[in-house]
Amino acid sequence: MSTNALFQQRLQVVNIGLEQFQADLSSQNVEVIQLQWRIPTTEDKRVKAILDAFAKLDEEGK
Amino acid sequence: MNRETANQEVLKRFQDSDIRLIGMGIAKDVIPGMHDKMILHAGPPITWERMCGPMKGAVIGALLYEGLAQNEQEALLLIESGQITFDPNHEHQTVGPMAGIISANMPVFIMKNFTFGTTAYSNINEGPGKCLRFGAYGEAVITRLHWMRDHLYPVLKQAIELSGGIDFKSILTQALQMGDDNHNRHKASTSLFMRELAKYLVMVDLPKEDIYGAAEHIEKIDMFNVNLAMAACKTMADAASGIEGSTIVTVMARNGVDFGIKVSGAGNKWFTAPANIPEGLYFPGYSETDAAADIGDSSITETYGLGGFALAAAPAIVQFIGGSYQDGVNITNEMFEITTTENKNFKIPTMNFRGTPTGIDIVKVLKTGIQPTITTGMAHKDPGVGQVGAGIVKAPFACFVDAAEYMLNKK
Repeated sequence: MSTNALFQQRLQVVNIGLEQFQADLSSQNVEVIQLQWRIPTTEDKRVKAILDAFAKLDEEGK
Repeated sequence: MNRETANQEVLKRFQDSDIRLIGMGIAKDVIPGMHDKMILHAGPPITWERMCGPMKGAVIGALLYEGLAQNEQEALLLIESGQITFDPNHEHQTVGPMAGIISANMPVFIMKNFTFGTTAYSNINEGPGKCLRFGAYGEAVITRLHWMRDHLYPVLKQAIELSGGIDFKSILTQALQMGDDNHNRHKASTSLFMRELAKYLVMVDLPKEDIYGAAEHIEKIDMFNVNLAMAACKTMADAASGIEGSTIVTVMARNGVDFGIKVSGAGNKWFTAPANIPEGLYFPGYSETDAAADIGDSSITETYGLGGFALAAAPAIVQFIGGSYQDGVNITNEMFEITTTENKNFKIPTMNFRGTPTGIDIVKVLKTGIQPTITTGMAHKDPGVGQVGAGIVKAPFACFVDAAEYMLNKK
């Protein structure tokens, strides 16, 4: 689908980032939801292992 | 020393420093390790081949400025001959905004941390539009750099020396109360600096037109103070580096290709990941496809709790980078989740004088998934064009993970 054809349809927008862009689209009657996205760190095994190790060291006061 | 104690020592060095602008010098005379064929750049180490467009443009401009090449072709031949050494500013107690290119005969400010004995250097701001730090290297750019060296620098040097040293932490502290984030807005801090300097400018023993030119140069550049703020932060970063066991970030810097951080407990080691493209507002005629990736040493301000971390204190800059006042408050609130303290020097009036979030802890970044937010200018991706907009950018998560893993393995 070309970009021009996309914008001739009814748009449903998910905005990630500055909320001002959501507000601007809403004021133009565009359907938009704001997503507060963060990296899902607990699902990353490497990150989880690092955090567990730091928690243990902190607990032991090392 | 355990992590908590080590981190407290870093925060002490961040906040208890007495920082003064004490003078100016020519880079090769004052910057440690600098020589005639060395060019310093922003961010972590990078080779000429991997440099982005604006950094390559600024390197060419520096060689023209130095008279080491007469045109772009000669500059490229000289670089390809291997005679030019490239090194990060940060490895030489120095910082520079955007491309951050500093060559041997450029004048630099000298900032001293009297509490912890560190010294840092930064170049003079050229102003907005087409300039070296955004990769422009046309005749007008080089002519202005020569004017800065031959006419502006002698005046500023003499005035600063006559002052006996200007309390720079005080200027930044006051400026935050006056609507500056101290990264992308320096309207207040530049005015405060000029107020301090004015009485010494009139005592300078140099031609009147040069003194007028210096005053006019500062008057026309709202961002004049960004280089000085960066140097002030660099004195604190170096003072806080190398505290065994600390997981607090002491440096964040970008070269337009890689984003790099240093962590106090890891000493001088860089942890890098690909730099992100900023989001924000573009000047008329430009779009996201024109922008280079995140670039510059100026994120040293965020490292110390300013810039993106202090956005709630700077409603005017939030509009300039494409957001609302509430966006600024939200970002500052988010940064509290990854930092260790509320800064005792920098207070945000609009948040009931709460201190700015200070001391990024890599463990908190991993726990929350929140990436540090940086306010930034945006350079065109091609050499020779200049600035195309301003916005915000997130530090890449991967370098914090690598740093944390390194710290664990070091235990």
